[in-house]
Amino acid sequence: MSMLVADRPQVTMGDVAVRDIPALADLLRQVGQGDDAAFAQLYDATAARVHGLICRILVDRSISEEVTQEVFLEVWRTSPRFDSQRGSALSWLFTIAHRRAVDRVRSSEAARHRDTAYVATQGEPAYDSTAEQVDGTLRAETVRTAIGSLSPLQREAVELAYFEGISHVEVADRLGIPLGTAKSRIRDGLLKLRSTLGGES
Amino acid sequence: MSDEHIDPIDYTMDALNDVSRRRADQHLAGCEQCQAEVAEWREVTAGLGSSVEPVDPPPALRQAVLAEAARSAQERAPASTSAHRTPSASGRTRHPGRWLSAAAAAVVLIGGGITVATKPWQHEPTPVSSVERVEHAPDAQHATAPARDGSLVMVTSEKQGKAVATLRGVPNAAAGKVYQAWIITGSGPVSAGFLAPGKATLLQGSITGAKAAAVTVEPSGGSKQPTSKPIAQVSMT
Repeated sequence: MSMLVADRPQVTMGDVAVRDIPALADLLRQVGQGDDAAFAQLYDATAARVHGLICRILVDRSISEEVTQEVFLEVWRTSPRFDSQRGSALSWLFTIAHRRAVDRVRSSEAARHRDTAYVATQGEPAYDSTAEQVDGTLRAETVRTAIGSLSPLQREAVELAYFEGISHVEVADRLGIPLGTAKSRIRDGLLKLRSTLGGES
Repeated sequence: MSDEHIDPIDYTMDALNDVSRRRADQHLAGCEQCQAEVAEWREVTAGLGSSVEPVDPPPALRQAVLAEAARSAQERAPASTSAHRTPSASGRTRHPGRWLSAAAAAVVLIGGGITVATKPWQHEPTPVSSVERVEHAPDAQHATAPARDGSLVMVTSEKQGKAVATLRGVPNAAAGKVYQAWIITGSGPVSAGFLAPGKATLLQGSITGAKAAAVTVEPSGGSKQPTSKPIAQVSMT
């Protein structure tokens, strides 16, 4: 165990220190060498997180499942390009997941499903808490606290922009504020988040 | 046009429309500074992603993903400067066909009638998969056991402690069922993953010290312990 931890560099980017789930970067590297057993392990370790993000963005369960499948196939195909010096494995996965989900939101079909499905899933805890065992050192709780440190206006703008998958123009529209104001709320919110996350180590 | 630096926040938040995103991608490809900024913001948005409650996808999705990946080729790794500096690394990237054919020839000698599924001359710089590593291992051992109307073919490498299993001529599992492989040790069976008929699969876990391997039919998603009699079993002692 201790040997596994010893040679693992902490991914540090600017003033943000994201300690990756240690094994993830190694797994993703092995996946990049065509290792299908490593891919199965990576899936088991991260699928609930990736799927959780996609469900949050897309709401509709069956569309979310399709997208989660697409995401993991993209992870498989592009993993030879993963470079742990350039970022954490988790951010690599979330980047692909977010982009795919947002692309889907913007297709009108998903948007239609989503408006109706949203009402149906409101209030029902749609997650399985056993999935929490997937431990990110970037602990969900820590991040929630960091998000909690944003001003309500910043938080609203950041969450709209990230989880609704809409453009900043639409964020401004939804909030009834000028584009410049929406952009600076998102920017200030993310800067705050960055310094809060960077500060905990 | 693409000389202009991008807005790393808009880019990372996927707030750009298709046209702007393509333009940004073109710029990013050649701009180290923007790449570094985007990488940094991605760690922040990963924080947002981490704040979401996990949701378990259905078990069938796992099988679909793994099966599809097994059929899909991977992109090539970008040629990095370090690869050029390391002769052994670049040698392997450049001539994997040669390396693989040598390995394949060894399998034909050892395996006799076994058909090697890989055709190294068809996909050149694809990295060697873990299945191939076992199938081409110098100490590879083959064993075949009857399984329903077909057979279970096992290739093991004691040195690697790994086994590859293939169900041949076996019909697909009934709806809602899967073929689950087991490595049987002194303390009982341990799940070794799932098998799809016709597909060579690296068994999860180590075979070092294992007595046998077996395949059972289980409800989809698999079982912690076998719930039915094995359809095939191969002894390893």
